[in-house]
Amino acid sequence: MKPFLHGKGFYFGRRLVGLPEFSSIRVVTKNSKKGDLPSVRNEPRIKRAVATAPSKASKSSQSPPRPPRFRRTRFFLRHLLIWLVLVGLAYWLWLDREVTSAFEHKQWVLPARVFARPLELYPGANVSRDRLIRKLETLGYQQVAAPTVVGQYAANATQVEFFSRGFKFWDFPEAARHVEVGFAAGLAQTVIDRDSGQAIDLMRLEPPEIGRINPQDFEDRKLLAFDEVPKPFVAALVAVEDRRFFKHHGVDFIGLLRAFGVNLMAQRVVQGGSTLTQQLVKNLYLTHERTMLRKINEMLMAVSLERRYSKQKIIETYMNEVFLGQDGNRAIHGFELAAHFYFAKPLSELDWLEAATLIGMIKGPTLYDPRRHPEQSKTRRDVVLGLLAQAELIPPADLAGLRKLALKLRGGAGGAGHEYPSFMALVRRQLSREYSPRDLDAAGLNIFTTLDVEVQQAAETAIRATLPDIEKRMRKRDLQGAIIIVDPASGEVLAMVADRDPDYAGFNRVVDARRPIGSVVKPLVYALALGQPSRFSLLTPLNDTAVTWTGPDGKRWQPQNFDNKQHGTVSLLYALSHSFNMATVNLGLQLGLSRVTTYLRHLGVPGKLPNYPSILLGAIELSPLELAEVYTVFANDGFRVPARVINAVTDQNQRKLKRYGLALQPVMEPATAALMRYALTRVVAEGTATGLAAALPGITPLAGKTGTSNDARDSWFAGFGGNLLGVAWVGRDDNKPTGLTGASGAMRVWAAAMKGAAITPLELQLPAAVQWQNIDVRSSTILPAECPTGVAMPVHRDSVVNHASDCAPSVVTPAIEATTPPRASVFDRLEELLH
Amino acid sequence: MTKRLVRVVPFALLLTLGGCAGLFGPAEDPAPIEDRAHPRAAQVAAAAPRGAKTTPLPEQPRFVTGTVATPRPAQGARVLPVPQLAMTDKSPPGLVSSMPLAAEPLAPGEHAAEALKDELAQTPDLLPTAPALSPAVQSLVSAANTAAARHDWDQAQAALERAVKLAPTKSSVWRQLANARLQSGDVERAREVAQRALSLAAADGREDVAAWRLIADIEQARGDSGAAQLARTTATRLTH
Repeated sequence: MKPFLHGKGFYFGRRLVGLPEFSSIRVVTKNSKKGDLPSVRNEPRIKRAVATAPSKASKSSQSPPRPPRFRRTRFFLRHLLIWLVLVGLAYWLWLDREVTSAFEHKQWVLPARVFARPLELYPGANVSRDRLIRKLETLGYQQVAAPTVVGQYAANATQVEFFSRGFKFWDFPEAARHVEVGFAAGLAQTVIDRDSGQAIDLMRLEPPEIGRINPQDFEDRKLLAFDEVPKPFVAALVAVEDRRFFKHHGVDFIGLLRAFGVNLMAQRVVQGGSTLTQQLVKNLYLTHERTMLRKINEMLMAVSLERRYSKQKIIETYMNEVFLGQDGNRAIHGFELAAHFYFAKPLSELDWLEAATLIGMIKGPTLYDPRRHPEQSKTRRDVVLGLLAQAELIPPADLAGLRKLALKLRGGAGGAGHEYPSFMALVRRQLSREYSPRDLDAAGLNIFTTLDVEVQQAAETAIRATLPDIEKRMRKRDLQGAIIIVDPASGEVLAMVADRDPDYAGFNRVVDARRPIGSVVKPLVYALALGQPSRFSLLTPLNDTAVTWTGPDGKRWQPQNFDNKQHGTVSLLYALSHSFNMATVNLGLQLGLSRVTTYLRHLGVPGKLPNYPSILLGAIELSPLELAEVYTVFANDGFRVPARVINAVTDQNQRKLKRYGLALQPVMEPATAALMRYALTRVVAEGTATGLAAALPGITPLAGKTGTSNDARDSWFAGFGGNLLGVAWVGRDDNKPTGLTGASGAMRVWAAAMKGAAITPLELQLPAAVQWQNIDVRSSTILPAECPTGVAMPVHRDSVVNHASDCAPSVVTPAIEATTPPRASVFDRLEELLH
Repeated sequence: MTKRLVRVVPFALLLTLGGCAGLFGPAEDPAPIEDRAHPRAAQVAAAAPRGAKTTPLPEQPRFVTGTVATPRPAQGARVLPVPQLAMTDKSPPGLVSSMPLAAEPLAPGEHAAEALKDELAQTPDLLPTAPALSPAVQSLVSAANTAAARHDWDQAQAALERAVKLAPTKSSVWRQLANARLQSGDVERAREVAQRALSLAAADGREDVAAWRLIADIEQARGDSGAAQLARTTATRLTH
């Protein structure tokens, strides 16, 4: 291009006019003999153009005696024209090459889309009727009397019937189906494919899209192929924007003339004569300034595009490119995304009102934004409906009725990556380790995350509601909170809230806030003991008596119990469930401090571990995420499951790029974990976490442990049921004392979240090495099985526990008489409950 | 450059106007355009079957998608003439192709694993299904078996990982996941999962024998014949 422009342009600009030597060009002399224009490839067209355009020249040829001045003018005009045409042709060819190569290599800017986990449906699934309906609603399904097409559902008291949309998951594609789900006892009992009448073993709904991995300002779109767009929509688009689209060749001169005429009559710009192709060219390659030059380029390029590409390709690109509104820093492009953004459903499910609204927006995406300017939007929509009726796309008789209907907007906020900021931040962090920013911003990756929208909402509600409530009741201020909920079996992070305002994307307290964990560490110490079943059992007596530790530097350390009391000899189980500090320190010192630190490391406790006995009482700083990972060991028979937020990544075409598999690390004997699991249920049943029963009535057993750091600066609760494991933290950012214990702070958040997330009770399964025994707690002996006074307690087969011969053993067996500490007054009991 | 462009462009306008007038006149000489890749819209419009795709009824305004819908032609509805041309390669991605096993990074002891694979490939019951699984879990196990038959171990693992999430206490499912990992050459991660299977085996019928056998295979693949022998002996002892 450059040399061409340089040479000819130069001549045109400086020397052509008024330079006679130019007449010596061969083409010119040859043609002047013939009295015609040069024979260029496009001869006939140019002939016509000449015939109409330089009328002055042709007129002058009829008068025989011509003054030399006229002859020169004619000469000039003619040659000027030849050159113009030649240069114009070359320019067009150049533009043609540019525009087609750009079009050919058109890379859509597609930010990575992030999905939450899909709802799984199968016979017996823990999905109630209301929950399924809620889920369908959030996915944009429409309730109707009898569903007939994709995206509709109907519900009665015991059944929900719907047409699912299907989805291309990373592993197995999920087909679109006509499904009927029958409910009983709050469960999905039957799942039937209505078309085949067969039971569906397992299916997934579409995964909810929860956001984008995006840069500051970005274009967002969802690509649709031409075949995926409903034909009536294409017809409507054409009817409104470019009636002759399928007839013209890029530039619609008839349309231009008509628009010119209409505008002339109205004396203002009423109609534009731009074709869809021209609009596309403008959107793709040109600036938005309104100059003649741009218009000409636009026309030339439009003609070029039409020469090379089919109408389908052009309109497909148009429908994916068109700008249809702004959502904060996100530009909404393309009809599919706009349909999701304004109506929370795919384009294929829009009705005429919605379609007319979107098509009407092309004229002024901001002005006719149905959210910001509902009135203008409706006016414009009605105009569009009129055009559709004119085009007989909708029966004209229905026009008036349709115009009366109000528009229902749904969805909207969200999808921009503003929701679930703490979870998204973690997803982004993991992705940025594996993908370049360029890929994440534009390559159209699909990220399938582990987030469960319902559990997340439960966690957010819990934080939002509980923290102000605690502040009010306990007269506290500036409390902060964080909670993480994972699937204990797989480590998948289901929910994460890192701020008392869950929508605030700030410091991620779940991941980055390491705080002293207090008594939550104790189960780890006790697990080390129970890992030696020949030495320790749940019944092993521990001394909850004063203990002093002198460090190598001579410093003395003297821990106190929370109630500042000594409880004498207590069983290991009792010491743990009531979180006795002195018993724990005695146990830890008996085990050996260095062995404890090694064990903590082994269980996956990261960070610094000082060789100082205060670690036995939780002078260890962990984040809620890290603590949750450690607690998966108890929930999973001794297997540590690292927390995961991403299941798989697929590319723009749903091809699997990476699957993040389940990882497990065996770090504890299953028998030890089973004993600990039981012990942790006792914390909830009779220890420091008895308050849980009131918050989660009927859901028992649950396992958990409270934790309070020094001076009650941090309140912790870590616990799990059958399906969920969670860690909650409440404290202050300035690390000042809150006066809250684990039970009065974090446990309340935990309970509220787990209630909303429908935690299920734990199943206490025992491995072969551990058996249920009928235990007399007072004497710590195994009673004969028939004795009614005993309680069932797991005992390792290697543990040495005395067997009683009758149902009322005397309490004289070694060192047991003091095991049950005195419960002198109601106040003592209350204090126990509190910590 | 831009300045020059500005000078040139008005002339281009003339050309365009003239040229376009020729191009779009009443179809005299459309030669350069007629060569397009797609037929002219008008021709297709004439050929398009009527009533195939119709506009929806107004009382329930909705587009016909053609997937599940059973459209009834509306009175006065017009068929939109649209040339049917495949725009993009819409072939479904399908099940992801398996990675060739030989291309996997080789772990220590992979030769043993390789040998084991051959051996296991001959046994018909590659991923034996255990009884008493719910239909949902069973369907995933079947899907995993289908993938395993194609030697698509990643896909098999994906299905089995979904299965263990649904039934985290089923030893047999964990064992099959371990097997899929072993087959894919991921011996260390197979070992972790096999241990999980073993930890649950006591509560899952006679799963312990199968779990021990699998552990023997895994230890063999790792090159620890001592441990493999021990596991095998344990399995044998449990059978009697």
